[in-house]
Amino acid sequence: MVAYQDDFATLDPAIGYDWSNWPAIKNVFDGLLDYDAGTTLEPRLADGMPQVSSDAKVYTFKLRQGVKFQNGRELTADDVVYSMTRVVDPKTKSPGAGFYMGIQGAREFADGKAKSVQGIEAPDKYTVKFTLAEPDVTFLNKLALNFAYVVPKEEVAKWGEQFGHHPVGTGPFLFKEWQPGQRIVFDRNPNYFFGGLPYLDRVTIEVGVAPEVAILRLEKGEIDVMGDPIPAAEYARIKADPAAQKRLVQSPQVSTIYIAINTRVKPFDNVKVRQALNMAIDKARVVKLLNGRGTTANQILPPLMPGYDQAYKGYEYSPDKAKSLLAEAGFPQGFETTIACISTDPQPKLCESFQQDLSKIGIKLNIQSLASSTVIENAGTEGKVPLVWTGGLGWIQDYPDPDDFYAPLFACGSAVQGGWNWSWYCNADLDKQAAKLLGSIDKGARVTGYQALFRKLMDDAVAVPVYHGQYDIARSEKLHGNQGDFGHPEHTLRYERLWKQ
Amino acid sequence: MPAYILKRVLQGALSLVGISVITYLLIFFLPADPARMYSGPSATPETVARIRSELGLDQPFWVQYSRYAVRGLQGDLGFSYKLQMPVTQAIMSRLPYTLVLILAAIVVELLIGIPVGIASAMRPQSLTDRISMLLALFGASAPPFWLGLTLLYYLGFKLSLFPLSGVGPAQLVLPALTAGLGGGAWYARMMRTSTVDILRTDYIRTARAKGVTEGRVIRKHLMRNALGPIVTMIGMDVPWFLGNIVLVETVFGWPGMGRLAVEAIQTVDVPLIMGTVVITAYIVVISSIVTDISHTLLDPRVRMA
Repeated sequence: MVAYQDDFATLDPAIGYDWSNWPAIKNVFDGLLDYDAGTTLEPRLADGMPQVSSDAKVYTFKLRQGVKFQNGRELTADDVVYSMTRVVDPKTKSPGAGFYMGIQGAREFADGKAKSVQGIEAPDKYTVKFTLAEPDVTFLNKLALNFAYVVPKEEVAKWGEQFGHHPVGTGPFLFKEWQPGQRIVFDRNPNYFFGGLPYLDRVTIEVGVAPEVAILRLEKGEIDVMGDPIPAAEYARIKADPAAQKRLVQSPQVSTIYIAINTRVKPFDNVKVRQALNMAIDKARVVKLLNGRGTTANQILPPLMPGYDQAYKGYEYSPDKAKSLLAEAGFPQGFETTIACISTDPQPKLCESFQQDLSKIGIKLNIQSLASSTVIENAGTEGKVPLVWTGGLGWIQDYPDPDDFYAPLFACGSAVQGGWNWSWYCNADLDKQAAKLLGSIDKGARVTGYQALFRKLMDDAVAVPVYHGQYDIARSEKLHGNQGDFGHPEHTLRYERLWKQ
Repeated sequence: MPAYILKRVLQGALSLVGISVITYLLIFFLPADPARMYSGPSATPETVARIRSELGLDQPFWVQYSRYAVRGLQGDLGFSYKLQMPVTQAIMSRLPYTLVLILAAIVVELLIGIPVGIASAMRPQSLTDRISMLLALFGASAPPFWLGLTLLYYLGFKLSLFPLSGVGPAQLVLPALTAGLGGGAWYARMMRTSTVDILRTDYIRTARAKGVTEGRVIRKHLMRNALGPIVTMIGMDVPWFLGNIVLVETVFGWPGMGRLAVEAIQTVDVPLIMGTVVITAYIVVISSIVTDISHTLLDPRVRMA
């Protein structure tokens, strides 16, 4: 029994992309690949890891034979082709379509110039072959995302746009019922093919439960897991209470919360000003304001990400040096500027902390406190806001590869209207390096390559990395699982691996 | 009479059109991109652009609005972006819960307001009067969010008298109490004022003089006359609650329409925002027409005009 505040949107794997429905979709559906207890890929619907061509462009999968959809039909290679084509079809309106536009012919298909996607083929009943237009070693990670999960064509045809409310897949649990605004129920799939999973007979997800109430219900034993993060006020209380603390599972989140510095807005076009900002922010105080939920950041990649640079020390906290850098840049008296910040707790408090920090070096910081949708819109419009605090909107990885922190956040292609490159930074050299790294199958070379790339971003001071997040979950002592099953970096909750006394 | 009703219905229809145009305009000029909110952070700008055009959001305002209006007139309120289901279906699965809660809240208001109001008025300036008016002031000003959580904590968590969440008659008590307490306090004050006035009238004095028992005076002579303003208040309560019950629904996890509307606004789900606004407006218009018409029927002093 799990409780969430917001209603679930949809369980269609091609569409659902929320904090809450992401792990629930994995109850009903599977992909070719999935992650083990850590971040290593392992085969799920595939019968072994795929053959990868030496240019990292062609990926050939053998399917596990005899896997049945929950309606009884056997899964074949045609289903994989159908599901992947469905995701890139604009009619499906999949938010994840962009992950698969690198498949040969995907763009032509999406533009209506081709009837099928050339690079997705089924040579026989149990073989699937993907051909990419450009080399991309992260393609396998992308195949492990929910968007690439396999759906049966006949069920999608039967329910049309409402497939997400009547999901049928191959997964560890069977969808049982959905009472809008109240609950969703899944039952164990007795015929599940993988690793003796799942252990639980039933998973009930209740929605509409405010976090303040969820925590009371947990203490009474009415629910087993609280799906939403623990409210800030309750967190201090739990930390102080040994009994409650036992119910807390803490895992690092693969995220970096940062201040994006708009490199196209004066005076932030001057690298010295951006560096000064990096030295002026007291990151330790931010973590303290968050009741210790997180660790301070000195670089863009989070510690769990390959390419994280242990040796790199980052900018030191030194208002004096920041002040002299500002003077060198021609602003001895400082200046006035604005930061966009979402208006839900605790973000305004953190922005006020930045305000204090910057006032010490003579910068008068105005806080623009807005709804998250408006912050996203303004940040993605060129020249609209000088600084953006990404707290509450922060980038959490989609897959464990450093490219996921470069392409969407700092590449030229994302520095466009509606993009997520809120630093509006565009460096053609770095883009070239990144493309080369995507084609490299040498893991060691990739790590050093990305270290250099992200170090350049820090030298250019395109952002102030402030802290790496932490995922706290409160659960009943009766519910068991490995730590990674409560806060897996890709899954968050892993329902299939939990068990109850 | 039929001409009057026709006129009121036409006015109502006109307000509905006006409300829908204004709401659509507000959403259209909102500094937020519905396609971006639908797609989430990982979608590439290319994907967002495709989704925008698939949803028809790249069209100019009048095209978007007239498409919406034409379908709306056929009873089709569109397809919710976030919930991935028809808006009508989404609202209809939630609206009954909101209406039940409003009804229960009104019952609570009456159960509190009428007896407390009368009791205070019977002995003005007495201790009962002062205490109940103080409580009324408290009830009217306590924020529902705080009140709800407090009730839940003590009556639900500490004393286990009521379930903490879920849906059912037992689960209805605390939300109805939270929603109705404020209104009950207003009703008590109103009831007190009108009772004090009525107690000074000649017909009460006459009734008492001819030896009618106090209980009978209250039931037969006082209540009938004092309830008039209360009935009007109930008519106004429905629209008021439709706008304000959301806080109560959120605290108690009651699966009503208010929560649906708030989630729709947070995710800029255009069809769902429009749907909740239009349906709410529709209910308000209908209830105000019904109140007006019943008024003219009940009270000869109100002329049809």
